[in-house]
Amino acid sequence: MVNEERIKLMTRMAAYEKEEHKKNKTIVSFFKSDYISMQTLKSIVYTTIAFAIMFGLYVLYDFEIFMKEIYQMDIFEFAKSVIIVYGIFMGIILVITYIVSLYQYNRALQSTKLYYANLKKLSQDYGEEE
Amino acid sequence: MTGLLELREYLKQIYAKYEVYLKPCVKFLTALVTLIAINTSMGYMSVLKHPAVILVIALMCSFMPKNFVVLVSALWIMVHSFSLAAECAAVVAAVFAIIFLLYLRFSPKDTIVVLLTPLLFAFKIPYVMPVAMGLLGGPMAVASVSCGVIVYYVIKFMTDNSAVFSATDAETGSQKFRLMLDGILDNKAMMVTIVIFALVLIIVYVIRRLAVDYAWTIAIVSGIAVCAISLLVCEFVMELQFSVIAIALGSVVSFFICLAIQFLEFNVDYTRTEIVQFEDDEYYYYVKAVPKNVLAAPEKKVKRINKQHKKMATKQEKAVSTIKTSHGVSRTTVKTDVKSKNRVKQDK
Repeated sequence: MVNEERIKLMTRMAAYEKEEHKKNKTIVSFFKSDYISMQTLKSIVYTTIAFAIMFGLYVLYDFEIFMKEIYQMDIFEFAKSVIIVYGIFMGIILVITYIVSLYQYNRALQSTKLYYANLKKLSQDYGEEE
Repeated sequence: MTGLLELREYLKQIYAKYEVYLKPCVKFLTALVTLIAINTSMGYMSVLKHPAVILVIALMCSFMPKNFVVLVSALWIMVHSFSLAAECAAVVAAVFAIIFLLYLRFSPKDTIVVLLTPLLFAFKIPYVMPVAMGLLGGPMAVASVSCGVIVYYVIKFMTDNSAVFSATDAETGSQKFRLMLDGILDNKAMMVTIVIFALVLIIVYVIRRLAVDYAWTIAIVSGIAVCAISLLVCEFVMELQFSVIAIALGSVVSFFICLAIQFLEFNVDYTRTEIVQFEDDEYYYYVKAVPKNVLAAPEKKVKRINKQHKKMATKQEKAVSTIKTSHGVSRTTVKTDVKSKNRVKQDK
């Protein structure tokens, strides 16, 4: 006899396994702090590359003028202003990274807990039948 | 309405049955339409316009993850841009890299939105995107839609100024580069579109979550109306060269597409809404339950309508058929021959 409840449970679990389980399993294999640190580190690398691209575009925009003025400008002052902008930009991205990573971790943990609870329920169901 | 609901169930059944084949087909079609659209609007490199090349790449996309289509499209645009001017390709590559590094890393699921937004612009119905994402997604989708708008306007600027970029003597490399960057950063139409689309998406999202009857329909109507009116006002005030007819027609078509999305995703019967109230030790609950419009697939059922002789009963069972429709109305067709009726009388 087909057990409708069991089939529903198994279908839900199979759909979860197919879509998200692998990704969530990887996330929850870390401690929360480790996961957030790893994402922050990644963000630092990606943001630095993105900032370098944007700085490159800025320099190339007025490349001829920039090359003329580079000998007259205060290099340290210019570098200081670039670093300040980089710091602000990085700060904003890191705050966003922290919020997103925390949300992702909590959601993955919740989904994984639910999945294992369903697995336990299914196992008990089969145990009772035997 | 019943016919539409039956069609929806039928489509669901077909999708469930042939999902394995339908998914690659959808990916193939998406890739094919995207590549053709890019070739139509840009098409500076003749090799990429060859039908065999397009078909092979689209076929390849059908067996790869869905984000692969986005990657291929980005490369396609970059190669066409390079064919036009190396400076354009550099700026396009930089824009794509920044979008990927700063946004798409966080939500790779939304990557397809970045592809679909320019595609809908090409079909003159971009208003579908903010409304659809407001209905199906969350406020974070604002970033994806905005990225899609940026990609569209970058391509548009290049194609509109292709004569300037392709001229070899008229402009130097740095001038072309500056022109391209100015075209992106000082593009009022792009900024206005981003702001309006973000506003529409948030309005639709907020309204569709309200606990009022016909929330989704109200959200769609409001979204489309706000979008069209805002664009028209901006057009008259700022003279952004939006086409008034295109806005009007595009809004009407978008409205019907959004209604179709609503029908497939959120189809409920507000006439059967139940409001219940109960309590436990800690809370009072005021619950509003709206039933879904669900239609079971039509099935045939044999019904015995009178007691008969065993042999005759089997004959009768074959003759009597009942087609039960899903909304509870039964239509009964009885086919009995005169001989069998007489025999029953004799037996009695």
